[in-house]
Amino acid sequence: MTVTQTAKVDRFSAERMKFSFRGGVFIPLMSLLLIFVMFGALAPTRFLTVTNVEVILTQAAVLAVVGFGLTLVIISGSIDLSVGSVAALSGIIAAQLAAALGPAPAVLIGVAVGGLAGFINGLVFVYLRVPSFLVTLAMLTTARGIAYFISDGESFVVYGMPILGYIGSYPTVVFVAVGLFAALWLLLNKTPMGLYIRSIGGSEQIARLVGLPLNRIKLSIFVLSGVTAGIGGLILASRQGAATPNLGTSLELDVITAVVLGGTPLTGCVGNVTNTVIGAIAISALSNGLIIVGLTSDVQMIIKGVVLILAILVALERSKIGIIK
Amino acid sequence: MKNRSADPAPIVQMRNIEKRYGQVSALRGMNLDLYKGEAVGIVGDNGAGKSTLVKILCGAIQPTAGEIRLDGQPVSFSSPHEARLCGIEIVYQDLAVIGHLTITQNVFLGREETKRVLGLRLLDSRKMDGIARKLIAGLDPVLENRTRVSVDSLSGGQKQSVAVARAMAFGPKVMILDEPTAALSVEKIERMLTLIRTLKESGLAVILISHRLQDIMTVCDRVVVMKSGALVRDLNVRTTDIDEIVKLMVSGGEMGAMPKASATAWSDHPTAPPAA
Repeated sequence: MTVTQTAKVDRFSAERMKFSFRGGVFIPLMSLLLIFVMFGALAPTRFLTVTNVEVILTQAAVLAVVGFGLTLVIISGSIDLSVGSVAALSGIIAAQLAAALGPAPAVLIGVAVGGLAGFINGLVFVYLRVPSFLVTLAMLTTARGIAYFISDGESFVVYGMPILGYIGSYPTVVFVAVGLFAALWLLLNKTPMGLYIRSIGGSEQIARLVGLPLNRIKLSIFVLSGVTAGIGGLILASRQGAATPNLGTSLELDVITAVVLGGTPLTGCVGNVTNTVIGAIAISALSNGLIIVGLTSDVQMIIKGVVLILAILVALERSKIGIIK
Repeated sequence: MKNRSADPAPIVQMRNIEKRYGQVSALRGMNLDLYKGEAVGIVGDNGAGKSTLVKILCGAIQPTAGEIRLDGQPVSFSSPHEARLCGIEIVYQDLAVIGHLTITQNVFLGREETKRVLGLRLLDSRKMDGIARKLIAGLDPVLENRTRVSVDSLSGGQKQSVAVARAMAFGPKVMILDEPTAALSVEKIERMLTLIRTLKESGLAVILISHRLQDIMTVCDRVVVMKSGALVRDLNVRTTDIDEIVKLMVSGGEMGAMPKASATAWSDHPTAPPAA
């Protein structure tokens, strides 16, 4: 009896160990460390400076903010490919309106546009039953097209958007990111809604059987993703001082890589916004380091593609998927 | 039904339940009564309509025609959630728990305890853990201190205990168990049967769907035999045996193959298991 008990306990702790790696922060933190050590060694005088780390963190803030909403989408088992285009649309609209309406209303409308785009994604996904991959792929090109259409291909200078400034000696962007992080961490980990998002990602069938309001939850997740993409677009626009219709092109790729590298697998249920913070800093540091060591943008693209695949290989529970198509 | 005088009225009455899928009839005027403190086994060949019947009772599908009364009041469930609110719970054999969530999270899924913190409605994890601990201790003592562990790390039988704990957590009136012993070892089957007896004693009405007729004979009070979406016979386990049930399942009780009167005589059949 004692022997059986011990055996049971051992197996149990082994399982627990395995679980802590899935959706844990150990591997993501190691990759972050690896990136810093690697570029620190390659370009010690330029990479590991206070100014450069600040640049990395500010850039990471954009990836993280957009990534927070996407993290919720991915935990629920779906995907949102439209975040880059939605960011551009929000940025362009806010920049166009800022001159006429003043910065505060422009920011609000910009964020609302992001939410609306997410709402449309959610409606088509939930009620017309189109896979999120396809819905958001369509939104990726539609939102980008609208951004070009309303801007006539021109860029708009951003006037005095408060989101760019400084609070004390820290960029406002960082406070926005920290605030959003706190709010979404609470939502995901401490509220019934967070648990429902995970349940949908874990088993939608069981979630339906216990009577969770699936449609409402899924719709809210996509609205949230649109809102965080919109905020990300405003940050991007105000940081470069102008909103251009090509703002945030292929941002979705960087953000998805950040979320997955952070340890949130695409299979759903597992993951956290904490992981996304780590992933965002890692991707931001990687992009920054690649530029600093002088690699051209074509090589950077190749390396980022490889990193995405590596991250998926580590994070995805491929054993859980019977058939890969 | 003559010996039912102790129970004044059934908890659940299902009358003339029909379910059609286009041209196909899954249920053709099925009737079922459930009384407090009894376990009813529903048996029938594949396609007899057992699953359709319980899915209608638990709100997973809606009947084409017929009436359901709960405590005498007509009810209609448009979702499993509505049925759960009325105290009707079902434990499915395969669709039991969400792997990455903890025992506590699975037990309370959809009905979380919350507390107000600075105006926010947050999960009251400590309270839920305490309740889950007590519930699970009664079902599978090994799990008592593992309520915060992901269900992925549990065995099939333990996962089922978690599913049963979820069904028991909110004082149900009716508990439906769909093939609860299919995935269990012999030792675990005994535990499940004991559990069903405990549920009965606590005043629940239990529906047991099982292919293991010996389990039904052991814990159930009545056996409802179905064929082709209709009731064949409603039998008292004390006056029937496995042979009769099997014959009814196959023949559908037609052509006078199994006259009702012979049921009593069969109870003395040598292969009849001892009455529960």
